Amino acid sequence: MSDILEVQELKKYFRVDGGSQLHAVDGVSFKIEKGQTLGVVGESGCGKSTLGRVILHLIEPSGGQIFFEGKDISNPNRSMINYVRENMQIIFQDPFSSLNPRMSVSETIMEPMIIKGGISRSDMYEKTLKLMDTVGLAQRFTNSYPHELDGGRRQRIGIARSLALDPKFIVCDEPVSALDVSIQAQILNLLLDLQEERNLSYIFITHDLSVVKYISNNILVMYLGQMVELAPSDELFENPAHPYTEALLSAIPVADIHVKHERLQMKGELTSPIDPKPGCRFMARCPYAAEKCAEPQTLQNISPDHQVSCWMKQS
Amino acid sequence: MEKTAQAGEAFLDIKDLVVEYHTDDAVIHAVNGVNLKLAKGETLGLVGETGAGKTSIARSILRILPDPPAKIMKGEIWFNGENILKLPEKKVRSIRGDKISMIFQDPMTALNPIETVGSQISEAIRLHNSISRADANKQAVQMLETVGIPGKRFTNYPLEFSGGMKQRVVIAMALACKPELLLADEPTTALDVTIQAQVLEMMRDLQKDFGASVILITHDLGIVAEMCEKVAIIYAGEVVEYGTAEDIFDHRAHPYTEGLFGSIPTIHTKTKRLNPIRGMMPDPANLPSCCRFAGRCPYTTDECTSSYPEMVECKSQPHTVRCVRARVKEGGSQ
Amino acid sequence: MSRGKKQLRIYEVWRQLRKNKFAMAGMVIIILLALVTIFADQLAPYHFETADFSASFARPSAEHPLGCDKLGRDTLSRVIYGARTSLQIGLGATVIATVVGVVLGAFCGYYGGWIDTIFMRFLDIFQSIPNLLFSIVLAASLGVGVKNAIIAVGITSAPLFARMIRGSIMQIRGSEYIEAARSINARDPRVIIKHIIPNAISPVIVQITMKIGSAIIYGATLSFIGLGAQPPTAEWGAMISEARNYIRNYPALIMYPGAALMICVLAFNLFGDGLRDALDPRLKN
Repeated sequence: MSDILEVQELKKYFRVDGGSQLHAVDGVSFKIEKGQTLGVVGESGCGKSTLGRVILHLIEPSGGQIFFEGKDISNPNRSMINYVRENMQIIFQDPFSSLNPRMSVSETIMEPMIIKGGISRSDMYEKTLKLMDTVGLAQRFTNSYPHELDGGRRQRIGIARSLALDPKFIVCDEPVSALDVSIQAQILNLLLDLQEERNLSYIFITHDLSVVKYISNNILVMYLGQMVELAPSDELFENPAHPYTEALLSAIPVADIHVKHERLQMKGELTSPIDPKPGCRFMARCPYAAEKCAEPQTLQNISPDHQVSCWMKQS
Repeated sequence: MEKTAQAGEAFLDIKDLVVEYHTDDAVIHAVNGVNLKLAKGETLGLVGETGAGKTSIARSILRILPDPPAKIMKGEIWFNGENILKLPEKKVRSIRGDKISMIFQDPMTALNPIETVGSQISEAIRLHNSISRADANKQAVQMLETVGIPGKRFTNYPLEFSGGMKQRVVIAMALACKPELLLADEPTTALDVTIQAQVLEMMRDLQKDFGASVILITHDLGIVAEMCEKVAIIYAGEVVEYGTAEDIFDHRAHPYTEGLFGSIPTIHTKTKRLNPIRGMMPDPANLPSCCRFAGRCPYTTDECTSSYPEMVECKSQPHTVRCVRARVKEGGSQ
Repeated sequence: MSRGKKQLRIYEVWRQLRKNKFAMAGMVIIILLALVTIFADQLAPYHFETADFSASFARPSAEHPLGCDKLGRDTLSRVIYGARTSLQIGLGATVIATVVGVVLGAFCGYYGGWIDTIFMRFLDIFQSIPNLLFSIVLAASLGVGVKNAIIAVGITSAPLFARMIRGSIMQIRGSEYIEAARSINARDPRVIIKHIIPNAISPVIVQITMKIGSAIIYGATLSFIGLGAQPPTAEWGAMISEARNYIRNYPALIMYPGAALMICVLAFNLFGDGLRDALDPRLKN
């Protein structure tokens, strides 16, 4: 199978007041095979949303390389940007703020086609109706405005918009976390159906580990801008190697009264990713912290497709 | 946890509560005849989706519904032998924050940004107890330490705390007067999982220490499994299923409850596809007169669309369910 | 295909507006004022310049319903023609303020950066001078007269507009649907025309309505101190100024233009207030 996306040592630093650097994304590398999903999990502020946006060039990276279908898109020129926008799309978290309140459903879905041009108005309209059908939006909403619809339907508009140019790859940035559980399940199933039908590849960004397990082939765990672990979904849940992954997994409340699990207690809260020290960034909260943790950690394979950045689990 | 189940008779008893919101264009039926009982020391989970009426129920107990547009049309809320809905406002004010307190989803709305957290807690204590400022401050420091915040942060402002810490402050404030009943409205929804775990752990410990009863509003069945002894599933302003956690998790009877469980991916079982509930909750301004779930239910029959289902008692007490199928099933097996 | 829907939106705004009694009262007064202004020649019993010395300080009568001033000019006619001048100043100044403010504010808001910083600091200096003082200085240096009063009041009000537009554009620029537009390859002009302007327009409309009221007041003030409309032009501020001399013996003379001014400003404010509530669908409930 071929890789659709490869990211190497991707970095995004933001300058903050006083000349400090906020390391939002710090040396992230991974590959995604065509038709597969990479889940990216982490707590708020870990840089997972920035990662998605940097890959799409909605935010310019500070360093590293991005290859899409083998082409280097790290420093795109205008025509390369056109190519990126056509083939790589994004679905946003908030179905309320990600739609222009003054544009109707059909106007919103049609907009990517209008911008790209090259097809007639009536063809666009026909395709819009087809897309609405694909994402499960009834035709009577064609001329509705976003504020007249509920969150689930709005999210379907966002999905239809992202599909308008038939992209090959979509960044899903917490697409269900603003929705109710029953609607969440509908949207998740829709995303999986679309993936099957269109052979789409996804990056699925979320803080919800049960959702990420359900939808992903591989999972990348981020902590303060760095990747701490990357493994196939089942492997990660069965053998979490990094203490942070372990803590994260044990923190999920399980909807089963017979499962009683021991919590791995973490100390304190997320520290700041501004001008971080060279050592392991999780050290301050890690129950196993030792002297060696203050040295820079590298990502290493502990099995063919399981990488972790903790010296205790390596060797 | 089981020991509290038979500890006493209901000290909170909600009877036939009806809440409506009257707007210019419509009457929204938010709560439609809810009956709930809560024993001392018990934790009850109210589970349901946005707009199901969970928050309206909790706010009715404290009588803090925004009026207008909200109106309590009918019902009784018995607390410690008094009907809260009939009490004069002054009396209710003395109960609020003292015997009953509430934790909101967004900690920021509950804290005054220009006052130190310590003085806010201390003030809450002084409001309901005639003690000196010094004593109240001392108690406030204790409360902060109880929820895991160092006492020296007494003089910090809300701004200087992270989200999880702010929610701890809110909880400290809610517990400051050692309430008998704590209403927690999605207390951890705004927090990250690891912080959520810490806060839930703390709430459980505090409940053990203080012996308070808790109504926990949530949409997360995982939290319910960890925290609650009794569970009420709320749909379109009604209780559609009520029972012990065991009833709900192991012997659930209502198709909506089933649907909720089918909608959540779990990390312990491998699911290929979720089984979501199709469609959406009916418009609360325009509820059907039959079973409210009939439009989305996979088992709908003519009876479901023609008559309104009553609560049916299941085999095990106090498990009840609002579904005609349960009646048939239970009838057959008895 | 969306035309029908757009009309529906206007209808929706109208439906909301109609529920607000104060806004409707304001609107009725504004319409009446507009009619009076347009048909002043037909409505006024006399021309504003017509003096009849025999009627000096005449009491209200059938001939002169509101009496006459010192020169025997009919007060009712002068209040009617005064509406024309006052509204002229109000509308003219608001148009100038809107154009200057919107262009400047939109530019700063969308592009931000150092241009924005420079402009905003400039406006800070500008706004640290009291508005009235500034318009007086401007009017005095430009020379007296209605036209210059319009320019003076317009320029003085522009910074407020610029600031408001900049604020709302910056807020819109930061919203996710702008990022969404960029993710589907929309370039700057499209983002501005299709996404930013339609969302920024409502507060501007509201602000314009409110601004007309205060511009009328500023215009009247300039005329009152002799920098705006010059005699014999009928203008409310100038009329109040003239009547001031006879306030002891003929207080009614100062009341009529004063009341007209007050009602007019109130009408614009009430209407603006109602419009704000009606235009924002998210403010409801």
